[in-house]
Parts: sequence; C-alpha cells; structure tokens
Amino acid sequence: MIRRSLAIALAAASALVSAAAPSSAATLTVGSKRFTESYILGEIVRTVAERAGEAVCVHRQGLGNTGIVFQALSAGSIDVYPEYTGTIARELLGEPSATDLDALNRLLAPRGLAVGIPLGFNDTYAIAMRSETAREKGIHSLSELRAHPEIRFGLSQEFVERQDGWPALVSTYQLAAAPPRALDHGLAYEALARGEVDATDVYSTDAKIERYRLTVLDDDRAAFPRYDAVLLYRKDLPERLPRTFAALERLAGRISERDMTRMNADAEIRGAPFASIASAFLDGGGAPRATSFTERLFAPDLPRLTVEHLFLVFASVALGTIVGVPLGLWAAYRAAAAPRILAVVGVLQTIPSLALLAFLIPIFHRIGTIPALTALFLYSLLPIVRGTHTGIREIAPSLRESALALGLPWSARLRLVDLPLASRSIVAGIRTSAVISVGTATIAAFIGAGGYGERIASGLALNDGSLLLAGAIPSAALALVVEWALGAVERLIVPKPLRSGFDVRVS
Amino acid sequence: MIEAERIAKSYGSRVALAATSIRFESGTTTALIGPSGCGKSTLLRILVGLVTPDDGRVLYDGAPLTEATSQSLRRRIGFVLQDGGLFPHLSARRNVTLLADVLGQPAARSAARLEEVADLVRIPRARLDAAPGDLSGGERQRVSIARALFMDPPWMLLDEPLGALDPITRRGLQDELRQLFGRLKKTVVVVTHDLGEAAFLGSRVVLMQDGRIVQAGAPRELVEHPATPFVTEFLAAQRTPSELEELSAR
Repeated sequence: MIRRSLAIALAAASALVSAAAPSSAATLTVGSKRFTESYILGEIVRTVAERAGEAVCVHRQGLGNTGIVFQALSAGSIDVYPEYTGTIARELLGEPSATDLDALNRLLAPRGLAVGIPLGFNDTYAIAMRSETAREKGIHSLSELRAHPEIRFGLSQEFVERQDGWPALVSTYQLAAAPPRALDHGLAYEALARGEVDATDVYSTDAKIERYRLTVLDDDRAAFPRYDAVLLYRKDLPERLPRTFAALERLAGRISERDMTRMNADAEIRGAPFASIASAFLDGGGAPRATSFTERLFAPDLPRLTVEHLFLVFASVALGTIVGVPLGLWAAYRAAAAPRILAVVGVLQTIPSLALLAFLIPIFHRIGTIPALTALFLYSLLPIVRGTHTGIREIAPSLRESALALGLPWSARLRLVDLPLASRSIVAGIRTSAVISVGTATIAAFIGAGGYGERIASGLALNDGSLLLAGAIPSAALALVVEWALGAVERLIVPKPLRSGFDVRVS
Repeated sequence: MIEAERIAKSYGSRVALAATSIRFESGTTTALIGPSGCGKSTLLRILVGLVTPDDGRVLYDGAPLTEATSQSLRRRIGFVLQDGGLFPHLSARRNVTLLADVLGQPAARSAARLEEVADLVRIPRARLDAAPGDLSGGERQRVSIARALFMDPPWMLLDEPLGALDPITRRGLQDELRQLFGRLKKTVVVVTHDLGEAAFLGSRVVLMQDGRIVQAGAPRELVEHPATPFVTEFLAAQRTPSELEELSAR
C-alpha cells in the first residue's frame, strides 16, 4: 500500500515539475529589485517584450537587492533588468568616474553584459519644496536657493551624511543655509506638510512628490550624481532576440520623471497592480484602476502562484520523504548512527531560512527554484526522520522478536511489519513537514522561486499590508488544505487497527 | 533433538547464563522453570537465536544455529510469546499464514492448512478475520499457537505461553496444550514459572537458579530427590504438601 501511494506521489510530483518548468521555446527573463519603481519598470519591459511576439516572457519580480539581481544577471538566470547609471558605476563596478554609457559598456563587456536604452528619467537625490512656497518665492532651481537663506531644511540622516548629499549641495551652490535638521524621512514629509520645514531631500521620482504636492527643484549645476534609468542586459540579447530587443529600444527616452513619479504613486498610493500600471502607461490610457482587496486576493496571478507554491511544497516534501524515511530507518536500526543523524537534521532546521538561501545561491550559481527547493527539502527532513525513527523504535520488542522468530526475511519484516507499524508516526512526520513547508515556501519568493511569497515579498518591499495579506491568506488556506489532504492519505496508508488510539507499544 | 553446548551469556557484569549444557530429546516436552531472573527466558531466546550467546553453540538435529542458518532454522521452529506477539495491524488469519504467504506457498494449500490448525487449537472460523486487538486473551494465545504450528515445525519453543491468562482460561488451555503436545510428538521446550503447569505439561522439568541448571528430571525426582536445598525451597513455596504428594505420584 505504501509503495503504491509513493508511486502515485512521485507521478504527481513529476507532473507538477513538467507543468512548472519552462518550455524549451525562446524565453526572456526579466528581473527587478525590491522597490516599487523597479517592479513597475520590470513589468513595462516584460509587457513590451511580450508584445514583440518573439519569446515567452517571464518577470522574476523583486528578486532582492542590487547584489542579488546583478548576480542573477551575471549567472544568466535573468536576461535584463532596469538599473541606474550611478548604481552601475558606483556599486557594481566601483568606478564612480564612469558616467556615460560608452564608459560603462567598456567596463561591462568583459563580463558579457551591456547597458543601454536610457528610459528618459533620472532618479537621483533632489530637493523638493511645498509647491505653494516655491510659487510664492519664485524658486524653480537649486541655484535660486542661494538668494533665500530663510529656507528651513528638514533632511534625512543619510542625506546629511553622504558626501554626494548635503555637502555636495552646499559646495556646488555656495549655500549659506542654517545647519540642517536631520529627521526620519517619514517625519520629514509630515513636517513639510505642516509647514514646520520648507524643503527636504527626495528621490526625484518619489511617489510622495505627488502625494504631498511638492515641487522638485532643478539641479542646474549637476550637484548630484546621475542615476539615469537604463536597461542592463546580457550582451548576447540583441542577437538572441533581435525583434524583442528592437521593441525594447523604442522605450528609450519615453519615460519622464513626471511619468515615473505618477506611476510610483499609482502603485503606492492608489494600490494599482504593477501589470495594469505598465499597460496603462504603454497604451497611453488613463490612470490604472485601483483594486479592491478581493481583486488583489484573486488577481490573475493566483493560479500561477498556487501551482508554484504547491510544486515547491510537494517536490520538497516528496524528496524529504524519499531521503528522510531511509535516514530514519538507518537511525532506528543502527543505534550507533542515530545521535549523529538526528543531530545533523536537527541543526539543519535551526539555520535561518534567509541565511540558508543566501548560502545556497553561490553553491548552485543561480537563484530560483533549485536553491529554494534544496532549502525546503533540508527543512523537511527533521520531522520525517524523527517520525520514522520514533515509529520504529516504539514498536513493542515482542513484535520485533515475533517477526524475527517467525523466520521472515529482512525485506518482509521491513515491508510487512516495521513500516506498517511505524506508518502512523511516519505519516505524522510527513504531515508536519508539509504544513511547515507551506509556510517556509513563502521565503522562496525572495530568491525568485515564485509562490504566494511573491506577494508577501512585494508587500514587505512596498510596505503594502493588503498585498502582504493577499499572499499570506492563500498560504494559510493552503496549509489547512494540505493538512486535510494528508489526513486522507493517512487513512489510506495506516492500517485500520492502528489508526486511532491504538498504541503499538502494548500489542 | 535440540542441544545447547556450554552456552553462556552476561549483560555487563551480570551473569544471565553461566556455561550451560542441556539436551532436549526429540518428541519430548521439557518445562524450564525457576524464579524470575534465573535465566530460563535467556536460555529460550538463545535457543531461537534472538539472543547471541557469548560462548557455546546450539544444535538442531546436529546442525549448528548460526547467523547464516538462523533464518531457515527459525522457519522450522514454532515460537510462542507470553503476550502472543501477534501483529496488531494484521487479521488473525493473516498473522497465521504470514510466513507461508511470504514464502509463496499456494493459497489453496494455506487455506487447507489453516482449517487443520484452527481445529487443532479450537479457534472459531469467524474469529480469524478479527484483528488481534479485538480478540480475548485466550483467543490471542490460540491464534499465536496456530501461527507457531502452521508450518508444521519439528520444534516448538514457548515462553510463558499462558502467563497472561486468567486462571480458568489458563487451566483449559493447559489441558489442550498437553493433549496437543502428546498427539503431535514434537520436541517442545516451554518456559513457565508455575511448577504445577511445568509438571502438568512436561515429561521433564528443568529447574534453574542464578543462570545455572540446578536439577533436571521427571517431576517426581525433584520432589523425592532434591539436588539442593533450593529445590525443596522452590517446590515448597509453590505447592502444599498434598499437592507435592500428588506430583510425586505422577
């Protein structure tokens, strides 16, 4: 019975694998970082590429910080992602002097990468004032600030301290302003709204510019480094997918700072989904419609996320069972090996999941499903190994003696006596593993393996509680469904007389 | 014939069985008896190979019991435990036929043999489909004995087979076992702590103390010619003088 159930499980697992694995057709994988603007630009790139009709386009949303996304691009896990010239020069290449695209491309070429298609806006530090104050005083650019020493600044701690922040501003524009007050950034906006300060530092495409009706002052003497939005891609992309690349090239110069600010506000303030912001922008239509929580919960990506999540849980627990049950048997039959086996699987369980993922990415030289599955598989071992070990150890000695004295061969003792008698404990271990795995699988989205965690990761990145819930609720529901379904499997596998309340210790 | 040659077993510093030799003639029933911890169960477990002796060897009709031969020898030994040792997840019927099923014995032959052993141990056919947990203590022991008899083994080893039963059930099964052993002419070794049961079932009684055999012989020999004061003490602790007289008359 166990063998048949296992066969069914394996067949289902392989069906899921083939369903979830990308087909061999030409594929373009777009990446993005974990903040609103990157998500939106990623969606725009995906939509444009998809409409070129040349390749299957996938957007691996919010893969992580700059380092992780760049690593994914270098390893070929993604083909293209939106980046900023300043970030490429400073963070990725360590060459702050490389400012134009030619210089960057010379440095990127040896790595098999290229940069191009400036999208048209510069997302850098900027100084913003309340629009009314700016109008009253007739201030449009930073150089005009010099004539207004009465302007009160409320600046973020980071901006005050960074060399390319406040010090650069003061020296470039010869400001004689009072020493700035350093505030928490969130508080600075509120202080600005209440009129307690007149100006603050912002990112030039920040959604809050629109929300608080701010005017961004023109950096007419280029005090701040340029962070022009561009596409960073694998050098072979133009040859590999020429039509797609040509379509992407037409994005050059199409997105202004105001466009980007509005789209950021659409996402952060009006809660519109990234995909509809992208298509609304590309189709020149009106503002994308805001969505209700129910719509977000049952958004079109729900079936895909469910399949991905189920696949992660199912594949990792199936692997965990295939490896964990023999490990548990080994521990149960070879008492000398038991402490070491149980200690190793126990320690695996204590490694924080993000740390384990970060550790696995360099081992596999890739992000996504493989390292995520490996981590989930390692976590699934402990309950299964323990369940098997306990199940076998708790079989009454008289039953083991009976099986031996009867002259049953080893394989028959295992199959007909030990495994059935331990089945309740083994299945309980698998159940625990599966339910834990449903929760842990949400972490997999942080390295681009998909699942409900995608919404949770986005929700966290965007400080969007309802998006977070739209991921957490299906995940919790899935845990209940999995628990229930494995209960049914338990009734199938565990022999009837052992099911409820029967204690194998007193035969 | 079962022979034990100078078998010894210690657990740490505790000697469970001092170098012991004993022979069980074919077709006889021997009762191993003695107080708790005297080594009678250890001796039986060594005979069936569940416990490996530190020294000495066991021979079945001259063939030594080794790791290589234990599995095939065990299939020719009927073994019964105090609690029956029935597999709780299998029906009584499947418990009885399990080894034959695993060895690929034809179903028709198993069915016929099941009829025979069910008659021998007097178990109603309807009870064969019950799980062991649903059987009474007496029924469980009958099924366990049926399982031991199923392959028609020449040797039967029983460890306190009636120890967990109430007195009435126990008395009834003692009668049946005695008849069974007498009829089947098997070589039987039965462990018990009850002198009356030992004398009733066994043509020979082997009394053990502290891992040694103190005296072996017909029940009346132990009464009339006790080898040591312990024999007298053990007999007196279990029987009234009139019962001992009855024993010696047997």
